[in-house]
Amino acid sequence: MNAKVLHPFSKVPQPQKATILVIGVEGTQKKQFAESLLRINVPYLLQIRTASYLPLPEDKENTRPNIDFVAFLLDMNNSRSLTSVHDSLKHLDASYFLGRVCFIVSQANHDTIHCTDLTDVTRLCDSVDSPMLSINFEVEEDCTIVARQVLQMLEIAAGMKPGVLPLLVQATGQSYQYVSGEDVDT
Amino acid sequence: MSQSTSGKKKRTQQEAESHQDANLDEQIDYFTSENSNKKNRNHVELSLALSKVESVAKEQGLTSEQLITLLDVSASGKFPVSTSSKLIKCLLPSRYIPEEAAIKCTSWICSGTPARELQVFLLKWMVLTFELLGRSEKLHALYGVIFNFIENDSLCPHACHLLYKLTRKDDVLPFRVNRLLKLQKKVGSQSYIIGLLSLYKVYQPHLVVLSVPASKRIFFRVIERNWMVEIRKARERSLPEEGRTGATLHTVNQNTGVTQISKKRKRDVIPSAVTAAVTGERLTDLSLVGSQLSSIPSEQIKSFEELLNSVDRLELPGQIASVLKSVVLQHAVACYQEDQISQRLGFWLYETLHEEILDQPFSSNKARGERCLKLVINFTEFLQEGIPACENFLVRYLHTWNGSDYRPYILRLISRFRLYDFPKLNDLILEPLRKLFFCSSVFCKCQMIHTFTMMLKNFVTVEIPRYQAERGKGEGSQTSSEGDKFNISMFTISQEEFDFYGTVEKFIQFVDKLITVAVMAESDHALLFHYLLTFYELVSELRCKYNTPFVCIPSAGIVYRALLSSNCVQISRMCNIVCSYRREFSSWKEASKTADVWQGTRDLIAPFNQYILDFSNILWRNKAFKKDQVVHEPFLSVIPSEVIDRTKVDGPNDGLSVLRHIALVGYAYQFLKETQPKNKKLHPNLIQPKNRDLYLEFLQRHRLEGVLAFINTYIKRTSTKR
Amino acid sequence: MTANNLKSLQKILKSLSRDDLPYIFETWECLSNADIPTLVDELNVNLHRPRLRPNVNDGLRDISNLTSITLIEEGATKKKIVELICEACKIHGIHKKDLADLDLLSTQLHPERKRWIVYEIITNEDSNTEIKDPEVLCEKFGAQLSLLISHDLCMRMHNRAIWFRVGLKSRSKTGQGNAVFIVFHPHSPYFITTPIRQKAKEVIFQALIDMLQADDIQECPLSDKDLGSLQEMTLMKNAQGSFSKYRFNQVHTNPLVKTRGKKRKGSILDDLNIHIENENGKDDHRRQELTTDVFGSNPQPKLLKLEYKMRTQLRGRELAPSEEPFRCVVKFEGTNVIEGIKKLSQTGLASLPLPGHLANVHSMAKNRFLLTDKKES
Repeated sequence: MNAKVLHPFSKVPQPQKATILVIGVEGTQKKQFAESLLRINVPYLLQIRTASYLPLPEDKENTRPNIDFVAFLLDMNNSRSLTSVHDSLKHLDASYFLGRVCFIVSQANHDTIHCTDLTDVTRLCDSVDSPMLSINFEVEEDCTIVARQVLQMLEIAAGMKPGVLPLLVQATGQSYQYVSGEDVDT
Repeated sequence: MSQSTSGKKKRTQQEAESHQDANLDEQIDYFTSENSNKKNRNHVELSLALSKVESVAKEQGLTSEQLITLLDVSASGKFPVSTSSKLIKCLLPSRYIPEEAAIKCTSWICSGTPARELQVFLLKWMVLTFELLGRSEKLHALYGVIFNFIENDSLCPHACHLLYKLTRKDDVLPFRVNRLLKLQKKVGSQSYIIGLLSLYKVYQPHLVVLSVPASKRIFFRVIERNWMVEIRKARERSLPEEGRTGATLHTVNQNTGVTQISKKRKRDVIPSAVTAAVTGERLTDLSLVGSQLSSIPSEQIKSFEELLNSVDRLELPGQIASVLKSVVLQHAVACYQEDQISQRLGFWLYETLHEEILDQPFSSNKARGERCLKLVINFTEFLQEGIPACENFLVRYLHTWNGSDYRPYILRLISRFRLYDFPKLNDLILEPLRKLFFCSSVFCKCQMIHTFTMMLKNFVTVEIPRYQAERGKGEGSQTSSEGDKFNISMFTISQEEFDFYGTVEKFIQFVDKLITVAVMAESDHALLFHYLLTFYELVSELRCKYNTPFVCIPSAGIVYRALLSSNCVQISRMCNIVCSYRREFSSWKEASKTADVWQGTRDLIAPFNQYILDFSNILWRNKAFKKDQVVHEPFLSVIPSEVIDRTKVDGPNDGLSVLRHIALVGYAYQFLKETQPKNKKLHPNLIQPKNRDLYLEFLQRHRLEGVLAFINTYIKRTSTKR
Repeated sequence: MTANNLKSLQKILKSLSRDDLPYIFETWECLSNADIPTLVDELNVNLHRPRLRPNVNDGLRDISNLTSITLIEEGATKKKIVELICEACKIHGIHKKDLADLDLLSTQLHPERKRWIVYEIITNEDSNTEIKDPEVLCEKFGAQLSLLISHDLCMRMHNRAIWFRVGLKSRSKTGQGNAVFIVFHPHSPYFITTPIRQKAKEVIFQALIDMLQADDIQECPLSDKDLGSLQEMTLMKNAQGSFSKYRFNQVHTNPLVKTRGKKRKGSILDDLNIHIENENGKDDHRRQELTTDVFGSNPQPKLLKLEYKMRTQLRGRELAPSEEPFRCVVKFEGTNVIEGIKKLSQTGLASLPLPGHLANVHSMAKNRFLLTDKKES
């Protein structure tokens, strides 16, 4: 297995433990997000790894647990964040895209300071069939809500819901017929 | 002459204590008679007459004829200006001023007979007593004439004031605006000209370009305070007789033209209704019986009866969104034939929803957004149809929605989404909702399932009949000679053909998949199950109640989970659902012979029979794991018997029966306790076959009637029932 | 004392904060012999600080031993103290010179209220520009100036620099003149002034040149509001950045002696949360090291504005014109720009290594830069 590519089952998952990898360039508030994740009470051990890009450095390979879920943090104000995510996606194994990846976009509603179009981001998310969540770091409550949502997905990915796999969740939907992100004429 | 004057003098002195009215008439006669002396200095008769007239006028008011007479006298210039002006000041009515007086006044001014100051006085009188006018239709017809008065410098302020009160929307014409602007250039920026222009701007903003600083600008100065006091008294006198209800929605200080915009309006999202034709004073017009007003402004309509009475004359408010606040107006708007109302409303809603909710980067103050959404929801519920602008907004909002801001309102709006082709529907809202569904807590999942149930109900009850009527109308109108445009919906429906029943069926399948995975993920959460059972209860009645051409059955994942759950209510309700499918399928079967129903349903009969078989085997016939007849895909019987033996469970085949099912064994215990002697050791097997009916009735008494219904429907009873 | 003077006095006193007033009392000569106790009595200054001394009655304060400092300690309000000072001045009478002195004092206390520009004195030969006695210098300067313009001159020493206040006549009718403050640093060719109008500038500089027997005065591309930082940047140009540790004596001469690790204040790498682990920790460390190498770990001089005029080619886009240099001005503004650049580099928002014009600002004694492409020679 190529060490450059992250694989969900390269290591043995541990029971009652879940690990999430938060990827975002410097400037996207990974630390704040990680802290809001930790503030939620969960009955299992939650480990968070933060990184700025993929592939992950090799020196920590041995101490790293199995990554159950990957969350990409994007900042609409920072053009580098989108390009970095594009590049990082190449280093992620395809089986992650069966429900183990999500994209979190901050400042999605703040149109005036966008560097790129929101449609570019949605196009990226749809091309890998992963959900896009919108977070507002200014409001603490919002952070908590999004953190809860991510934890829900993480729990499914870590196998804590018996019988439910992320792929099963994905299978409930159908792919888009029209180009996403455009206003469909109603 | 001296004889007549001395005679009159005597008479006045003599009749000083006599009846007032006669006195008054005489005094007025004095004024009108040709022969009276016109000098006013030291002229006793004149001053007496004048004082008499003044006192009567101030206390009681004059009658219409007296008013007109005195008006003629004063305007004709018979007497010097001071007398005439005093006379004009006492032109106070007892009830109301006849329109004729106002017209006469105008014509006197036009003729130029009275002196300049008198003309000014006459105009002032008209302005100040405007509310006391009985009707102003004819006066309004003289609008152009009065407009010409503005050319006269001394008359201009008062003419502008009068015009300010008279103006209606149709009076604002480009040439008038131009004349006012020219006048403004000539004399400079006077407050009265600006006042009139600003009123014009309110009615026709595209004609007037100047910017007027809003609110609290005093346009027309008050000069004659005492006069105003008298007039107010006269008004109060006349008020109770007419029974006016002067309810103004935005207070206009009549004599200064100052409009006070309340602070709340700035904070309020939905504007209040202001019709073009109304300023505060117009209200008096309607109080007269048989008024011939062509249009009634919508603020007048306070109740439904009023609406019905004047529905043909209704004039809708300038700010269409104020309709959202008044239920009565919503009725009116819903019946409006023209498209422009719905378009205006759509425009406004689109902009407002985007501004209030989408464009708020930091959602701190949610109260405004909530109020706005509540009003929109009320309107949608009233109309029972979705608004395209709302749908547009929802689609965009769901993109970046975090699933919890304004959740109840957004979900409610979603439940009124209109019917589209399924791929479109899926793209627009179902996919985003699905993604949020699996991220959210179990309570949010319940709310979403409830929304889906409401959506389905909406589709079947409202949307499909609407589309069918629309299609039917499309075919029928070519043949119908009347060309009766029967509008069923307020907002335009897309004309493209699509298979609406197909959408509904696919929608049900979509929700089914969602529910199946959700219930696994949440480990049979009771509340979640409740909502999904409600959904299936609706699905199981579609054919019989709503005449769909197909039947949809729940997937095996749900049905068997309900059967094996540890919650008795779930078993009972699932049994009920399975029962109601009998009616569905039989009705479908009948219809398939003759009418146009979906043949795909035939394939569902086999799996459904398997459900029935499994239910009866497990619950009643004690053949849970036995390899019995198999219709479709077997359920528990696939488990090999060796495995069953290895579990070392005692009596596995009847372990899931009505008597020993984990959810129902408590009830069995209760039943036995009630029916068996006290000290007997209780075991479910004590309920022998013949007592099972009693037991089922016992369950029915405890509101678990589903099982009994199932047994009665599907299992042919050989034994007689009691 | 004229009304104008009183107004000016009040204005200057108002601009001072309450904590500055003790210093004023000490240094300003007019107040040195003010009879404070009687004034306190007259003006009925309420000396009570509430809740501190509950057992003292109102009227029986012993005020005979009051000095200015105790006055302030006792909790008199600033308004009252100002009144007191005005009264004292009224009694003694003050001149314009005293006001000028007070103005100079107040500027010395609050230099951040003015903008300062750095100039360099250029001398050809190694002439004797040593300023031995500030008083002599002042007289010389005064003499030179009075040849050219009517003025009023005032001098004080402060923080090892000589401060001058040159009061010029203003165009406005009030007696308040425009004042120019000049800060001299002995043994250094630099001096710092507040902005001067063109005409006056020529005059003053001429006077300075004559006085110092110099050849020319040139303006340095450095001007800002924080005087201390300006002084630091010009006078200690070669001791900034990572060399600042020598200035502050943070280097231990014997490298073999074990020292305890320096306590880093609030490093951004301190992660108290054991559940969060940074995969790119190494990168972060490296970045920190690079930054410390360039900027040092001591506080940076405070610049409020940094300006770059670009005359470079526009790179990176095909459609942009590429023959002519692209003109633009980039401004960095903030409470401490160099510190901000340091943080940018620390957090990784700027790609390392930083270009010279960003990294070495602290050592270049410049505030305005002109960037051009490297000429290919």
